[in-house]
Amino acid sequence: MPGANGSHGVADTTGVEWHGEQVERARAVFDSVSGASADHVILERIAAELPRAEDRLVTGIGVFRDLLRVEVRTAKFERLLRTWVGKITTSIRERDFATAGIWMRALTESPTYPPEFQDYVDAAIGEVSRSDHLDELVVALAEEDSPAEAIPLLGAWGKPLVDHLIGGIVVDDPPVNRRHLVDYLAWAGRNDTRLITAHLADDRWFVVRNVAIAVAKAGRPAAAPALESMADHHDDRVRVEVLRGLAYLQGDDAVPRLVASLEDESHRVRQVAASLLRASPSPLVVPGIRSVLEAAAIPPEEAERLVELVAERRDAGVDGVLEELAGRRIAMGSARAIRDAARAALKRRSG
Amino acid sequence: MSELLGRSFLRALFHAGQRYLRAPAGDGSIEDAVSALVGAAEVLTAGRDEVVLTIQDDAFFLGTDMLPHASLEFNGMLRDMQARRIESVTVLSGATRDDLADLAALVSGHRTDIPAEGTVRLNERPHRSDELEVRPVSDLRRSYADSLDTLRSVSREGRLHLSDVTGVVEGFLDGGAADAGSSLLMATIHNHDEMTFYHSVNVCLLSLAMGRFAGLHREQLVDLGVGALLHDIGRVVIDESALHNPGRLTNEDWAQVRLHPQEGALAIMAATGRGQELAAAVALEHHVRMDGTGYPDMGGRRPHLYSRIVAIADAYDAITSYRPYRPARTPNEALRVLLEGAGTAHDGDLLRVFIEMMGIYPPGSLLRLTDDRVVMVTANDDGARLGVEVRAADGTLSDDPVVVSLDDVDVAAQLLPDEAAVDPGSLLEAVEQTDRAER
Repeated sequence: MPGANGSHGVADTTGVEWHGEQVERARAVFDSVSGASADHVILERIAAELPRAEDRLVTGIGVFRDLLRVEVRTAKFERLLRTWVGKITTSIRERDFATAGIWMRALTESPTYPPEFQDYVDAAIGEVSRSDHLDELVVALAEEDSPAEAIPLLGAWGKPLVDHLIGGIVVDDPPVNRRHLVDYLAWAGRNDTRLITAHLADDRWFVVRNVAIAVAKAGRPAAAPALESMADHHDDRVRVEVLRGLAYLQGDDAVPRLVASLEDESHRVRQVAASLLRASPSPLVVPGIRSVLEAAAIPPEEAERLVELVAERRDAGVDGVLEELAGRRIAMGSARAIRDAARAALKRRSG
Repeated sequence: MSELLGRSFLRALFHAGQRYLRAPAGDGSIEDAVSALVGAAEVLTAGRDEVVLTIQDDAFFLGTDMLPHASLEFNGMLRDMQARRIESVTVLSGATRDDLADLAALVSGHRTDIPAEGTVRLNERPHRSDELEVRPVSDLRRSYADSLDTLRSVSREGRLHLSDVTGVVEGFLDGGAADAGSSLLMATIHNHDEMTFYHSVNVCLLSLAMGRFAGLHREQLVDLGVGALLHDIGRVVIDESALHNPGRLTNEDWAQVRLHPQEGALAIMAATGRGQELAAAVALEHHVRMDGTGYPDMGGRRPHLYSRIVAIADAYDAITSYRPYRPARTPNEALRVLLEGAGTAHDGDLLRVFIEMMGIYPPGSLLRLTDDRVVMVTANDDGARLGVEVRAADGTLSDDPVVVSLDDVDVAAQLLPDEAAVDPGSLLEAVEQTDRAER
């Protein structure tokens, strides 16, 4: 190590000549590691930096993003993007969806490339989103039982994937079961539900129904208003899924909508609304059902089931509601069915 | 026959061939190179009717003597001659300028044959295998040749197969590349016309030795070695002529050269295989300095550990190598230059490790002692710093080489191989041969 004398042109014990200011800088570095066991300290520092196997991908992504930033030659930039396409398609082929997702996000999240190269990036995303590539993706996902590790990949893929999945839903012979496609649609919409809620405006009821399911599965409460806008869809199969979706996304806040749906013209919708209310722990359920029963505008057998639903609950005001319904004097049609059911329920509860 | 004579002839032949390849027809540099070849042939055949150079078993033989070091140094020419099915070259005493020029043109692929009855003859009297004194070629030397072949194929085909690169690095490790002494001696080989390839292999050897010294395990060493071997792979796709121009690089040349890190990283990223990501990082970052300057601009981010290791090995080999615009410098000078960049250009911790590994006089260093003897430093064995005495008359070792303990002598100066008229690689061969004979 350097000797004490760092003056100009003096050779120390290393035989290395030292020169001027450089000497001081070098000495500062060397002095900083001097101590009881400098070598040990240095080797420990080096060891702390040694890459682990799992660091490789992170390093590769860093290089890729650096290259996106520094490469200004069009042809080379395009070559880099072709490499990126290869990384993703190869990872999918190898069923390594997590790695594919990391590569996808390396380009699509927090872009490092110059804005004027956006067209090339769009072209690369178009290339990786070729129909054959996307069919290969969904088939691979289905064969691997839709592993959750693929969620970031699908979430980062964005519109091209969403459009492809919607396309898969409408064809007679989709590459995989439609249930899978709806699941993947939900994953694709996780980062930006607008990508899938935009398809709620589709004029094909079965598309809207599947999209509504996907919106719910995406699990983003921010998408609830878009679902609500479909609550009056002309097809009751859509309204059913909208209700389910709202119940899932809004929790207690969906109770008024569920209560209102107890009076829907469709038996299917009313049945689902009742089921969802039964499952809801909200204190708003009993008052909501009570208001519907008071109107007595639903068929007697459904009214009876609603009374039963109220009677099953543990809410504090249940007995009061049942007593009020049981004590009605005018009792005809549904109103009578409600009164009788309430009395029977009270009897059971007291017994 | 002296290996040095054979090496001198091969070097002259190689350079003449390269001039045919690179210089325009009629260029004066071709004539100069042929003149040098004529001179080398005269020295080679002095006192003899003829000299036979045989190509066999991936090696040159002068007479019946194997030339292992020259076979490696001129490995590209060896491969070209093998590809052209040249098994022997007989150089008659008084070989003419035209015949020697034809030979150089043939070797470089500018001719398909040479006159049958001239003063240089092909495949006339190759020695039989049982006549040749075949020496076992060390695994390290074989791996060195393999790695050159790998880099050449990347250059030729424009495609990078990482599995091939990983294979040669593993071959290096199996052959003892992680042993500092062997690696440092081997890393003294240079070839001006395949500068990038030889430089890359040397940087790989130096990096592996340094990695081993710093405690990296085998898997990490393979990753480091792949990165080191490919650190300059971007140079094979830029205009190589810029690297061979005498004098300082022009702004245009320099702009080209500055692109090679990203060219290399791009090429590696486009390949597939284990260790690809780290190798790409090394290629991209090996000119990024510790203080965030250098190129390309990484936004002040500190380079990867492996990039910093390779940067030191890269700088050391570059400084100790001849460049068209400057002479080579001694290992000792190179260490001084590196130290001047401690903490700014290079990682101070790693630099310290490197210097500790190299010792004051790295293996292969040529030293003039105060009593005027010239010594080549061999491995620093178990802390004992040893050298062998070089005969001043012809730059070779005596039949019974004198081993010198450097602790017992005073060093007057460190010499460049050309200054001492010595080829360290050839001397290394001789030392190894003597060791083998003693064992």
